[in-house]
Amino acid sequence: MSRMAMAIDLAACVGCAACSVACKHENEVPIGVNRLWIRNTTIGTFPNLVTEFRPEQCLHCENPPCVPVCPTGCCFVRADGIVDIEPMKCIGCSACIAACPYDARYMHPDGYVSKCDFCKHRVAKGELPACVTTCPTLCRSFGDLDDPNSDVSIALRGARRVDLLRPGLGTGPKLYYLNAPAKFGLVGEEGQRSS
Amino acid sequence: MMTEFYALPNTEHFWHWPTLIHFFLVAMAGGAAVITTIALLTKHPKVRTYALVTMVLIVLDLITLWIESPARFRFTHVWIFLSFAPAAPIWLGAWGLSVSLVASFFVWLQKGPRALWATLLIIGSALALVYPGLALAANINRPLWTPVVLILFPLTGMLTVISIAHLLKQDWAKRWIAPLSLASVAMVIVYLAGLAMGGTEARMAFDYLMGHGGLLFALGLVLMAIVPVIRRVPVVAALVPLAGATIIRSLIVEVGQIQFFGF
Repeated sequence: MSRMAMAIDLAACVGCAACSVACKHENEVPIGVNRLWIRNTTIGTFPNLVTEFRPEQCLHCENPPCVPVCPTGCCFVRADGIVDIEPMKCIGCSACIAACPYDARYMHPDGYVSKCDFCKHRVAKGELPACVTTCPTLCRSFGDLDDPNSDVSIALRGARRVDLLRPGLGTGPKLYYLNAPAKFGLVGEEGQRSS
Repeated sequence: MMTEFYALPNTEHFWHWPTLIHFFLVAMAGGAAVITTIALLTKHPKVRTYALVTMVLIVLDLITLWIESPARFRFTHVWIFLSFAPAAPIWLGAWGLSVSLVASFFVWLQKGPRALWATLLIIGSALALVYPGLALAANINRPLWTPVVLILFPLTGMLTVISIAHLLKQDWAKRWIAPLSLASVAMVIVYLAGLAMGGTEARMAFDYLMGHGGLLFALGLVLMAIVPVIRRVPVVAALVPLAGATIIRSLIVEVGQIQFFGF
């Protein structure tokens, strides 16, 4: 058993969106939908401004709300912790899209739900996800949370601050945001810190 | 605070107008199955007619579901019946409708053990009636789909089908319309009060609902509330609550697809 996870160092992310482009290309994501996007938020009053570039995608939750609502079992958690979809069993009911608190899922034009799968085809070959490989500031770390020597475990240990998205929902995201630039943590998530 | 995006999150509505038709039809189908169950248990002389109506409504609803599915030509719906997913409201609803369809068919045929069909109808019709509310309330991330819809949707579902029965001059239906309408109005008020007096996200959801269909919502509420006043005019007394319940249900489904993540 392993628990594949990702960490993004927000102090290093410059919002170049190379990860988003790489994801679109690697996974042939259709026009109009996205597996990965960048939320760029500026807060404060000049000259005391803080800008946060926050890449968002499927968080591969430990308790994914999208999985139990699937009526066909096409949405499932793999043994390595990646939340995955089996397109040939998907009836396109959108129950999982409704249940996702992070807007990470979309309806593929071919009639099934799709989302980030941590580039499982690359992971199967021992490679890193495309977004990790392409990042010019090396702000992304990927690996097994249960392995103390994995990139993600090392990044988590070295971070001065770790934040999660919507921790109050109890989904247990496995996408960690490190070193958020604002003093209170992630913008829009004030008071929800759980790290 | 200023927010911009490179590429956009997937915030588009995922359920469209065919889903609203499904929510209307499933209310009718579930309600009709409940009426068939009661008719069977009380040995009502029109039980075969009700069973036939139930079958027609369920088939129409299943056809609507099939048409609205983007996977309709892959016929993957069979996986619902090859999987065991009792935590999935859609799985429960699909089985509830299927069991009700089969039991209604045998009731209509007047073949087989009556006790078995009654038992299956009690379970199937209950599932079919509660599943739409369950399918919404399961999403704790969508603040307009509060736990109140678990009661509001079965109530308005029964009101919908009782209104149709009244329209079709079923004598027994008349006495149920006003109590069901008033109970539905009470639940709508509880629903709105829960939003308006809730936390930050609930109050945002209340404002969003009022801004994206508040007038229509008020119209639906008024239509159900005036039923006791107009109950002596048969056709109007049936159409008014039917319209009111359908408006309220449709708005909650349509507008409720919002979530305030990142706003």
